[in-house]
Amino acid sequence: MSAPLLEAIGVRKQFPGVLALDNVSCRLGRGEVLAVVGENGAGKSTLMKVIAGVYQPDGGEVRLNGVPVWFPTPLAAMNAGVSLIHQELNLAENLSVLDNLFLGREPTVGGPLKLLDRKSCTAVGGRLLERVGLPAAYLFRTVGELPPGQKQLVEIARALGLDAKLLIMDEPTSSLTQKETDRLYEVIDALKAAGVSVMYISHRLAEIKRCCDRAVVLRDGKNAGELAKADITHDNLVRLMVGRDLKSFFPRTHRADGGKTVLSVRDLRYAGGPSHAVSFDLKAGEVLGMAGLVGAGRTELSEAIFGLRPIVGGEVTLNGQPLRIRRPNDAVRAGILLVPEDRRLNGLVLQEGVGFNLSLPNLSRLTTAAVVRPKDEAAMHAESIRSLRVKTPTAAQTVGLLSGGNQQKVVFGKWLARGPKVLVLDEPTRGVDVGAKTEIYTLIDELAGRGVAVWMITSDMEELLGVSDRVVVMHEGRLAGELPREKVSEEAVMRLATGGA
Amino acid sequence: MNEKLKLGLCLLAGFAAVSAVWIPAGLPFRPVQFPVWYAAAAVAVGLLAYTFEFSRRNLIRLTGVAVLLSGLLVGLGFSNENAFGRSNVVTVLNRHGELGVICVGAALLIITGGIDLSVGSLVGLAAVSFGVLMEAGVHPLAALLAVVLVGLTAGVGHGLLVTQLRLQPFLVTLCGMFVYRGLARTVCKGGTGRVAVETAVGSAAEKAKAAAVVGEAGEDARMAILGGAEKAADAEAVAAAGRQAAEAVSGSLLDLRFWLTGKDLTEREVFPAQLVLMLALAAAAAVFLHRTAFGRYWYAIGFNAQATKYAGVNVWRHQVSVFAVCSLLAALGGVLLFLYAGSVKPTDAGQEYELYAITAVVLGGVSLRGGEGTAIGVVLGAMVLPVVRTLMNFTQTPSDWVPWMIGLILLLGTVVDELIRRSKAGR
Repeated sequence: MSAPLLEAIGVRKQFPGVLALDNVSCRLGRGEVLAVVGENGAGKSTLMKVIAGVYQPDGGEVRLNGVPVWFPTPLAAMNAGVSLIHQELNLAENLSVLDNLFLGREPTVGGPLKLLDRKSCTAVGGRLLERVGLPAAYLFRTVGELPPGQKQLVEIARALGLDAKLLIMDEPTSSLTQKETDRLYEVIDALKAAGVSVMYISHRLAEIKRCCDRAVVLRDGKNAGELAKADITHDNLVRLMVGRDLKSFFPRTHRADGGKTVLSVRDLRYAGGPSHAVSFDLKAGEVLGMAGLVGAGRTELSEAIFGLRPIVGGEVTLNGQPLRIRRPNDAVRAGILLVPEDRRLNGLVLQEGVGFNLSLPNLSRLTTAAVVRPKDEAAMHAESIRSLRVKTPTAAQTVGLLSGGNQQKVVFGKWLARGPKVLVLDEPTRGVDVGAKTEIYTLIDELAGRGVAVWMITSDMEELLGVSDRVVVMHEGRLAGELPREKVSEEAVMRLATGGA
Repeated sequence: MNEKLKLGLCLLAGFAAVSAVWIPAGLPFRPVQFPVWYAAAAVAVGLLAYTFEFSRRNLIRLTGVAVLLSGLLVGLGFSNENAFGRSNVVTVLNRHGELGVICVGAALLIITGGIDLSVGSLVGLAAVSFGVLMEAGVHPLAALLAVVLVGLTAGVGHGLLVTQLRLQPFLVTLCGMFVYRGLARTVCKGGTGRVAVETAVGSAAEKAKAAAVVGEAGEDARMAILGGAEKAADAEAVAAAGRQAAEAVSGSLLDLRFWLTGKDLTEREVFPAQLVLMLALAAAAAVFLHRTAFGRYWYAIGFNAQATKYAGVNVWRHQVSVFAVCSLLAALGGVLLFLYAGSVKPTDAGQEYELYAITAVVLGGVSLRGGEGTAIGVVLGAMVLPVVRTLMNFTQTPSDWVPWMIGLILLLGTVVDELIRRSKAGR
């Protein structure tokens, strides 16, 4: 038997404060499509990046056709036939499709003059586009004008132009429409038939079943198991991904009944939002789960209520009092606190210490005539770190060096010290390891038990089903429907999220 | 209790440090105003030490500039036997103070992630405007207030353009750089004119003389027409009042010069007043940066304005304030420049000061990326350039060498700094 196209053996990758990959192995044959599955933070993206030369492994090795390889840069990997299609596409938006296809390796004529050989560009480029199912006329379109799905195809075409034998796709369908997704599946099938192998990261079960031959599951940076096509089922995947019984994973001690309405949103319209007005209520002591596809407008809605987007119509009332929110400061004063989706960009000042971040929104209570009272501040830090079980050597530790889970606990800590009335959680466990996830779920449960109204936006179906007392589903900027806890199921949520009745 | 002890020790250290300069250099303790300046300097140094957080990160930031300064000072000591003599010490410290006043503002702005390229032009505009107001006979304190207010307004303008229209600070202040330089020339009526302390004092004296002439004319009139006695008395009173006012203006201008720059009537530098002023401002900045909520917000904004906004802080107000402080201190620096130099030209007064200020604060450990820096670092960073200048002077370096030597020494400083930081942070 000949060596497989790709073999990763015992790959290890260490980042400051976190071991992202711990002895991970996988193999991939020619013309095979392999799904890499795992929770956020399980190490999928890191593995892809190690294979594609973005990161270099700290241990173990990667073999291509049985020969150990070392890619110091993504370019080296591309030249060896391994191309990574990024989540954030790496195309020069201001250039034409043609220019992008040949960027950095333009065929030239005229010897030292290095004139662009437009003729052969056009011919070769046309053939490349044909392979991904785009008409040759697209060569002269500017990339920035194309919809996301077609940009992705252009990027695939570029990889094919480099004679790619292995394409690595990191959540390729996350921003595509259904039609674009179907098109991508067809392209993958065609590539497969032509002997190109594909590694595919996805969270969507249906997608994995549709186009993958095998699934490798990662958990906490380790191999958690492997499933052949026939064994890919929801239960099997989740069992491997989570690695424990789901019941204890989502603790529920609070009883969400009869709480009075804390936040009431009536006919809300906001800048950059949909033309439909949005209305919903949030009760004390309940966890309201908000589901929807990426781009359904959930984050935008939360931004409007947190004062980050101008509200242009409708009314927000808090405990029956109308509330005017023009900037985050207004929301924070009123007790509406947001744990943002992008923790590293919006939630924390990464370069500063744990304590600095914990203090930031609480300084008004820790100062006398604006001068910080060091003792009170230290006491507040100690209390937050202890009660949230933040794993940090000291309060002075730079927060960017903590693991995702501990960073998220610091974001929670910032707000808990203020005593939230409404806590808005936008993807609260994204990039958080499994252990810390349970702790965060426990925390959410405790907060609801104390009467805090929790509004949780999540794309993680398990989390939605496990934590919410009630689920509302958004579709294209409007609330498509509401499901009480008893009626919440993946199918019901997806039907609403995709616009079905 | 512990904090109080620390404060006490730091203040003692401040007095010790200031005494170590003040006494050997033979700076005056009489009349009574001098002990006040001496004490102010000592308290300021004490506060700078007290507010400094002795963390590894902060110490690393200061290592580079400390090493560079020590080297330069040793070199200075060898270059001339009078290097640490009284007059030279006062001159170097005064220059240090003049640049330092501007650096404090620039540092606060850079810490919050901004930048101000208009500082030099604003220094020029402030210097020239102050001079023109002096020559027009405006009271010096009123003129000082007016010029500083103009600076404040300019800064608020920069801040509003940056925060409300979302323009880049680089661009806004680049435009400011041209505008203020041009205004300086307009204010001075023509490109090549200059304003000078002597002219201002002289014109006040002229007025006094003119008033005397009016008085004499009145006298003559009385002699000629007896009936005009009343008018003549009026004229005399007017003349006396004018003389008095003119003398008061010229006198208070010279007083102001003495208390702000330490130059007495004979242009001799008696004590480093500009340094004391700068230390006081730096100490205030230190308290703000390292001890108050404002400082926290400024650092947070410098690293991540977005996250600070999400934490419920009114980020734009802080940004506008810091732009305002930076421009205000630049205007104050302009007044100092006029008083210290004695005369300024609108074409080159304060030219390149923004670049000196930026280099100085970067040497002092303030990162251009924002979010990093200490008040002590700014004080030390501002000292490098004046010392380099003096060293070049003593070693009789040809004047055409000066700019590139300065450039290379500053480059050396930043390289050493970066290397130290990298080797220590790498672990």
